[in-house]
Amino acid sequence: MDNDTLQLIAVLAIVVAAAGYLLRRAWRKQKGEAPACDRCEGCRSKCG
Amino acid sequence: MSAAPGRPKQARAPSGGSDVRAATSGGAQVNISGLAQRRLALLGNPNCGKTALFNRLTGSRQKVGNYAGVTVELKRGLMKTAASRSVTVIDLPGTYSLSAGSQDEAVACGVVLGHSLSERAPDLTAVVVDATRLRRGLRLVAALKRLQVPLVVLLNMMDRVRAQGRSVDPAQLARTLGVPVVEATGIRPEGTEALRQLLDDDTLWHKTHPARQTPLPTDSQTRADDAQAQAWLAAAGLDQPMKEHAWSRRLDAWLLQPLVGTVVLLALLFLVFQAVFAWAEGPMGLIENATAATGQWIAATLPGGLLRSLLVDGIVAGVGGVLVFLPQILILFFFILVLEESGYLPRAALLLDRLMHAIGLSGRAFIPLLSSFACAIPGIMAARTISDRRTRWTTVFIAPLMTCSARLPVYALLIGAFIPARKVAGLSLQGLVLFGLYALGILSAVAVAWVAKQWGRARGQAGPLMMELPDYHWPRAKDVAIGLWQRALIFLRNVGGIILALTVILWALSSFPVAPPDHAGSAIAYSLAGRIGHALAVLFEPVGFNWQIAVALIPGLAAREVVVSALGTVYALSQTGDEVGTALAPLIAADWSLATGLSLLIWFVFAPQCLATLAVVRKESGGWVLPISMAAFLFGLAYTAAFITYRLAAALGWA
Repeated sequence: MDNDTLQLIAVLAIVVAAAGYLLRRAWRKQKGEAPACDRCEGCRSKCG
Repeated sequence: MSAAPGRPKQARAPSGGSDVRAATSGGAQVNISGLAQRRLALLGNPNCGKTALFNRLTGSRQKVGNYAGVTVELKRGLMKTAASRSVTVIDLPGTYSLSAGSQDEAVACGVVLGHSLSERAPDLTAVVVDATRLRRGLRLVAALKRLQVPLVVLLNMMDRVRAQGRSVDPAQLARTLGVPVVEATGIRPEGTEALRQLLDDDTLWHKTHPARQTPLPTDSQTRADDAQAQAWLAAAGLDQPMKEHAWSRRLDAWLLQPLVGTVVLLALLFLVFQAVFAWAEGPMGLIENATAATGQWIAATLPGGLLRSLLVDGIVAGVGGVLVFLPQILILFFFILVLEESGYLPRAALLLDRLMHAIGLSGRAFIPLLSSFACAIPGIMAARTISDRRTRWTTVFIAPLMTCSARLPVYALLIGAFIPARKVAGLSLQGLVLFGLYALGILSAVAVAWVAKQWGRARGQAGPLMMELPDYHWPRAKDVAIGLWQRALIFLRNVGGIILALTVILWALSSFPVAPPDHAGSAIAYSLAGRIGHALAVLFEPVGFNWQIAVALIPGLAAREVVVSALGTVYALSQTGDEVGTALAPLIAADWSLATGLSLLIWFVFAPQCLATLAVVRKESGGWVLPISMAAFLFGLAYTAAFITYRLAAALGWA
C-alpha cells in the first residue's frame, strides 16, 4: 500500500472512532447513565 | 452478608457505588445488591459535614463546601466496616426537620421516612450532628426517635468544641439519648474508625423499621422535638451555649455591613479578573510554544497527506488552541475555591439578599447562581433548594446568563486578539473587559429576573432568606490543591474527550469532499463544512459573523469551548503549510474586524450555546415548554445584542 492509502485508512479509523465516541456519549446521556455535563464535581456522579 | 430482616426482598441495582451480582444455576447474572448490602443513610442539618464524612467512608470525591445547600440530591457509595463488611452509604441533602420545605429537603425526608418511590428506606440512619450546634442536630434525633427510626448519632466538629476548652462525652450523650453515639469526622483519615467498628454490631441492623409511610410531623410535634432536644442537653449538662467565634464576629461586623461589604465583594471580584490575565501569561506562553513545537515536529516527521493534515490542522491546531486556556481556568477556580473554603460565600448571599428581593428572587438563589459560574447545570439543579416555585423557575431561567467556565476560553481568545494588552489607570485593560463581560451577564440576569417579577407580581413574593453562617476558616492548602487538581482533570478530560472527538469530525467535514484540482479558491470552501458555513453566513451576516464563525458555532452547541478548537481547525485548513503552528489569536485578529470580534463576545454573553443545559432544564421542569422558551429567548437576546454591538462598532469605524 502506498503512503496515501495508509494515511486514508488511518484517518478513516480515527474519524469512525470519534463518531462512535460521540454517539455512545449521546446514547448514555439519553439513558441517564452518564453525567449531564462533564465539567463539574456537582453532577459528575449522576445527574443526567 | 445477610439481608436485613423485615425488608421486602426486592432486587434492585444501586446506580452508584458497587454492583453486586451472583450467578444462578442457569448461568444468568442476577443483581443481588439490594438484598445483600446493608444500607446506611447520612442525615443531618445543612453544612454539618455529611458529604466530607461520605467521601471519607466511601473514598468518593463528591463536592463539599463551607456553606449550606451543596448537596441537592442523594449520592450512594460503598464502604467497608472494621470487619470488612460492605455497607451502602447514602448521602442525603441537609435538612433541619422532617417537614420538608424545598425539593432537596423532601428527598432527604422521603428516603428516611420510607416515602420515596425510587429509594428503599435505609436499614439504619446516621444522624450527623455538628457538636458546636447540638440543639439543632438533636431536634432531628428527637423526631426520628419519636418515629422509632433505627439510628445512630455521629458527632462531628469535635475539634472546634475542644478548641473552646469544652468537651462533649459521646458515652454520656448516648446514655441520655438512648442511642449509640460516636465521634466521627471526615477531615481526618482516622476520623471514621469508631463508626466502622460500631457498624459491625449486628443488633443495630436487626431493629425493624416500624413506621412505614410515616406521616409528616405537625407543628406541635416539631415544637415537642425541640423541647426534647433541650431537655437532653440539660440532662447531659450540655445546655450552655458555645462561645461565638470571635474572629468571625469581628469580620462580619465589617463584611456584612451593606456599604463596606458590597465594596469588598466588588473589589474581590475585580481582583479575580485582573489575576486571570496578569498571572496566566507565563504558563500560557509555555503551552502555546509546546503546541506549536508539536505541530512543527509532526509536520516535519510525517509525509504530506490526510493523516498529517488531521494531526496538524485538526488535532494540534484545534485541541491545542483550547488547552492553552487551562492556566486561566485554574486561576479563576483558585479564587472560587478559596472563597468557598473560607466561609465567605454565604456572607455574599446574605449581602445580596436585599438586591435579590428587589428583583423578585431571594438570597437562596445566590448559591445556585454562583454554582452557574462553574457550569449552569449544577446551578440549575441547586435551584431545588428554593421552595417558592416562581423564584425557582426564575433562577433556572437566568442561570445560563451567569458566565460559565466554558465561556472563559472563548472570551480569553477574543480579548487576547482584539483588546490591546495595555494598562488603564494601572489596571489591565484585558482584565477590565473580562470583568465587564461577567458584569454584563449578571446585569442582564438581574434585568430578566426583574421583568419576571413584574410579570408574576400577583403570584406572591419570595420568602425571607434563612441561612446559617459558618465560621470563617483559613482555607486548607491541601483542599484547594485537590480542588484545582480535580478542575484540571475535568478540563483535560473534556479536551481529550468531547473536544477532541468534535475536532476530528469537524476536520473531516472541512476536508471532504476533496476539491478538484481545477477548483478556484480554498479547498475548505468546497468541503461540506464550508458549504454549510456559507449557507449559514447569510443568517449571521447582519451581526458581522463570517462563514468560519458560523461553522464553529455548530459544534459549539455541544460545549462552548469547542468553538475555539473549531476555529483553530477551520483557520488551520485555510492556511498553507508554511503557517503551521501559528497561534489562532493573530489569525483571527488579521481576518476579522474589531466590530466582528466585539459582536461575537456579546453573542457569547447571552447565547444558550449548550445543549446539555437545555436538556437538564427539560428534566428539571418535566416538559419542553421551559427549555424551548429559554432557548428562543436567549438566542433572540444574543442576536439582538450582537446586532446592536456590530452596528454601533461599525458606526464608529471599527468594521
